[in-house]
Amino acid sequence: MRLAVRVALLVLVTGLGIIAAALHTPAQSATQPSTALTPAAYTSFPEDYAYFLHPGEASISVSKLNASARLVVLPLNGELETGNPIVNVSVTEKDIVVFTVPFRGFYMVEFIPADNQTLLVSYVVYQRGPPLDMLYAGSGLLVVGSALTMYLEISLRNRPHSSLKAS
Amino acid sequence: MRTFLRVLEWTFRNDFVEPFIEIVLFIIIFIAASSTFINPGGNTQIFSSLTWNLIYIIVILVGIGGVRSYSLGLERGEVVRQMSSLRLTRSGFLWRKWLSLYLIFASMLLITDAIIFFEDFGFFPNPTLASNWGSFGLLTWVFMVPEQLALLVFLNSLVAILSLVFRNTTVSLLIYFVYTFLGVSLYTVSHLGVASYLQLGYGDYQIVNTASDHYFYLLYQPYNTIGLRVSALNAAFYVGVIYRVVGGLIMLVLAALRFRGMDLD
Repeated sequence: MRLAVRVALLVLVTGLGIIAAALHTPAQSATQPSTALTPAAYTSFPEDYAYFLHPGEASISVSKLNASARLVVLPLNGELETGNPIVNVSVTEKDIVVFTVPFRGFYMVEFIPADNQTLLVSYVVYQRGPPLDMLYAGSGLLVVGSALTMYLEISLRNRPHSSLKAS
Repeated sequence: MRTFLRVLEWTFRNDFVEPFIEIVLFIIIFIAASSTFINPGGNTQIFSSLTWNLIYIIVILVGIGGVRSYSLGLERGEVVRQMSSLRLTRSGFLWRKWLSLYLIFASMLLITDAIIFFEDFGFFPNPTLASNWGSFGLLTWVFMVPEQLALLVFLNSLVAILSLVFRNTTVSLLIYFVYTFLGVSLYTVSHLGVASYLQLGYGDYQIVNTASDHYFYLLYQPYNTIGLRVSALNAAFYVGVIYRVVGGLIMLVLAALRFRGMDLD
């Protein structure tokens, strides 16, 4: 029984560790230096425009853009095919777009020109704050671990009394 | 099996007194999981360098847990009490104790590995979203886990033999820490060739990196861009693996021989 309490306590500590790690997650940024982009670039070198984002808020700050364009953020699936965009907005020369990332994974950042011209663009993808999925998973383990520990501790305390009554 | 479970329970309850293991688990998870990456390829780096990032806490966990079980157990007469109450031979007791400690250490690391896996895969994954760039990250994770287990064989056996040879808690722990901490910082002398694979931490990173690189190209791109076959794993890689696994097993056998001839009165 005491062993079960230790195991339940380890579940609690695991949850606590995940929450602490989530809160301590450092801010991350990726800079895309001034690049001449054609629509073909995204299919030729998709890895250059893909970013690993965790659930929470993220931002893209455009520091240079030679013509108006649409900024599109698309989730990538396992076959490197893009899904429905989570961001689809018009951006100008200097802009900041803040958006919410629903799931942890790879997202493609694309700039689509109004006509088929080559874009000269420079931007920074930035993300800070605790990853929400880690917070939820950690909280879940913390709650389960706490409940189990309390239940087992209470059962353990009641046990000697009941055996005394029986004797 | 039943006696093994009793030794395991005894070790977990008495050698790892609350809250030692809980604090160590918290620190390991905190160090391992509080990192993130935004560029593709970062996940591979997180997996291959995980053991390197955690090496000091692993060394301390195994050192204190092992010395508490063997040296302090001998000093306090707990080893003899366990052997007589469970009616175990000396060699029977030693392998059960070694395996009990190994399982406790390994489960701490496996919990952390699972968390790191979900940090890449997603704690609540969306099946339509690519969480891994190709399969390189996953392959690195697959190599990292057995490599960590091999490292634990080495450290667990090292602490066993030192404890049984010196039989003094302070001396055993001191020599263990001197050996392992020097082993961790070996790269300050040389970070090339065989020495880098023997190094604790950085060597583990090298082994995982070399193996995952090699097998990834062997599995998915057997011919590189200039049409040459993927090069074989180097000798230093094998030396690093043998040092950990065979070295650990030799030390375990030597510890068993030492324990067999030991005066326990």
